[in-house]
Amino acid sequence: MTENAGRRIILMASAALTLIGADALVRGMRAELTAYTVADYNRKPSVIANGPMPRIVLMGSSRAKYALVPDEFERATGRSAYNLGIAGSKVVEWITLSRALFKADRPDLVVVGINASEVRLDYSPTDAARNLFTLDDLFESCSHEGVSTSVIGAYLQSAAGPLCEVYHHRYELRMWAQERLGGVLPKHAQQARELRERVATPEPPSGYAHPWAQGEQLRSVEERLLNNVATVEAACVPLFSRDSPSMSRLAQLLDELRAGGIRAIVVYIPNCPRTEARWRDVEPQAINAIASVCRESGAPFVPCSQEEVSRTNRDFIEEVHVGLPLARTISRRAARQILALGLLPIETRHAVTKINDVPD
Amino acid sequence: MIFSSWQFAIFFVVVFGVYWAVPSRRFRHGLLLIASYVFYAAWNAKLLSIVVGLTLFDYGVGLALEQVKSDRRRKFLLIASLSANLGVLAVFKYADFFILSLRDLLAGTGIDTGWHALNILLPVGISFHTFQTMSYTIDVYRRRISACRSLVDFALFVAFFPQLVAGPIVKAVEFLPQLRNDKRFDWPRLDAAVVLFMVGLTKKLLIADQLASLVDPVFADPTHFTTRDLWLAMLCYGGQIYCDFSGYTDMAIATARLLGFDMCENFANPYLALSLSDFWRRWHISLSTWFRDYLYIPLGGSRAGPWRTGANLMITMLLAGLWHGASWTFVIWGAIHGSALIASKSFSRMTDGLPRRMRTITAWAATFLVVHVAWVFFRCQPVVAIGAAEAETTSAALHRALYFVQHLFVPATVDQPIWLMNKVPMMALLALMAVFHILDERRRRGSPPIRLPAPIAGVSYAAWIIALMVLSPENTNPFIYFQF
Repeated sequence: MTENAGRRIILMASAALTLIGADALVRGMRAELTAYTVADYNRKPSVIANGPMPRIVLMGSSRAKYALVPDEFERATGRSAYNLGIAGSKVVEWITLSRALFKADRPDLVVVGINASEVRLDYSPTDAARNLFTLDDLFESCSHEGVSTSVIGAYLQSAAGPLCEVYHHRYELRMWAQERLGGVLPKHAQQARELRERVATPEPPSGYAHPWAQGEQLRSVEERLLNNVATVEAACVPLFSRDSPSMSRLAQLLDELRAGGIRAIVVYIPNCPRTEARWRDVEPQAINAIASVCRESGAPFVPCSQEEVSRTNRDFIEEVHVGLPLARTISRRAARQILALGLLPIETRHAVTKINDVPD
Repeated sequence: MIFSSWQFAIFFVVVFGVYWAVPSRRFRHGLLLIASYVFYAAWNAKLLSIVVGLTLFDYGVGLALEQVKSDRRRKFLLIASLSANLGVLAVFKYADFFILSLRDLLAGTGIDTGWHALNILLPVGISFHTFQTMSYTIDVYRRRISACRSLVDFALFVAFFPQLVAGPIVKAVEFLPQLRNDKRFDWPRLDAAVVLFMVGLTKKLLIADQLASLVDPVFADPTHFTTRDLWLAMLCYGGQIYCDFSGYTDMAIATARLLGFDMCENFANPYLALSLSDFWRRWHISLSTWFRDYLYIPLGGSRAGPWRTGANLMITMLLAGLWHGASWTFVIWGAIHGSALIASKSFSRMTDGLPRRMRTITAWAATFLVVHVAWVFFRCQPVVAIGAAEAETTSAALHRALYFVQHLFVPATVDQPIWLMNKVPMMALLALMAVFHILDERRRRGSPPIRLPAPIAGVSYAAWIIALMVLSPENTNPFIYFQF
């Protein structure tokens, strides 16, 4: 063996041992590190999976998370309701979640809160692959959305993650270190501390927590626009096509729910007028297409047009997230529709509210 | 498929394994060519036809230039090749720039043309491979090299994946002879290449991408930041673009070395330059030598008096600015460099009376300042606002750049300044960049690499890998020079 070959072997062995040691160290710290694990994709589903199945499940992205108020549905229908809105999720995620959660028990009704952004043409289900997909879901996604190296990569990273804990918990490690570097990086330490506190806060029983109800972010889009236009994020105009994979996925979701004996209603979650004006070339087409899919799948559709639910920029927290009063109005509107169409099976032990008792 | 992605890692492991497993040189070249086309097609398969089309055309022109004896016909062939390459560049890169500039010019005279941007997709790396093939044709025309007989070899010269999309711009005289040698696997070479790749990866992921997230908000709207933060953002952008591009180049050179090829150095500690001309001998060396050899010297260089030299410098730098992108702010960036190059001779005369050390420090500081102020114009490009069909006007971008530069020297009065949260990390990243500069300078001066005892080296490499894993941002930005 030459001197160089010997050196190379020692070098690689010591590097490998260091990596193995670091991995073991991180495994030992797992409990401490999970204090920083955001896991939005697990928190709400685990509430449903581990508790009694709510009779009404409100599903969607962060738009639905803000806009669909379980109290309003409960008050109107007398059935328990849970907000399963998950920020960043789209139709693919909702399909995967509904398959996983509605296996043993199932709700009576699923309310799907949707927006043009969620049926955009250019969506690649990378987050779904990272957080929710099984291998079957991955193959299905390849056939629906096409083969995407980023989706496959996200799945592989997630599947192989536990093999290398340092990589798997890299975000948590950063936060853990940030909190301990408070002397040098006070703001970063605060950021990490806030994250840890947020993770430690249990999900509300209904899955719904609006910032306006908790005294946070009290300013509306209108107020922020008046103060400084640059601080209001302009929601990106989605690319839309009637033939996009997201549209066929929406039809698939509604068909699967129906096949599983679950009724569904689709509610369009509106944007603020500022965004509606910018999206005017796309949004009406998307609403028509969603309505058409709902018709074909036999699911009622609540379009929440300006005539049905009047709104101004003052009613929104951000361009795409509704404020609490508007959320209640949208929810009441949807609940009225549910009652009007008799979407819930009659249950004698619940005193179901008459339609006219539900305020507008 | 960028070097810092897992897709590239898998792609390269396969190519590397098959490449060294087969002994046949012809098979290896064929494999590399296919791999290069796959690499490009992973971005856009349709636009690969541009690379293939220009390859076939320039290959034919090269062979014809050798066979044709008449000077007029040879000149015709050269012009045909240059026209094809520049024509492709004009259509794909500059069409919108010319259309919109002319539209705005005519609008200024009251003529409303109603023209709109064509929004043609810019093929990645088009400025690099067209310049590479043009240098080949010009060199064959000048009889400096003989035409390449093998189509596969020539196609590989044009499309070799380590340098296809962002250089270095390799000259045929440097690359084609390497295809005639049999390559043997070499462990020390592999060791050095792996370390160089990690250096590049570190520059990109740990410095450039981190700095990008910190400086982007400042350049997007400098009116919300104090003068001190503007200075910090300007310095950080200088660090970002250097680490982004030199990181890419390190990875490109390392990848080529792993396959047995050598590529020219593209950077030599540019921020240590003592004059603008010194800067251009250290920054994007392959491009600056291209402009020197194929534009500045043919224009007459510095041989025809100070006025003509100044004009040649300015033309070269304006075109170098335009090479980077179809925008007037790039032209202004070139103009700043051109003007500073012209003025630098007077500047050195002004500092003649100073003590030597003071003169060196003054020259370094002046060069550093000019380069960084010019980066502000380079960075402030017209952006397409979300939802808008066209990019903002050049004047809006220019206004942003001018505001930025003005308030570097005149304190900005900001009612509610946005607090720049990341000053400490910014400075730490700049310090890390300085460390890389010093290590590069050591290597350039021929100092032997630091040789730690094997166990300590192993632990250090492992720590380096862990740092890359933990500190890399979740989403990698494309390399800045991919857009050129």
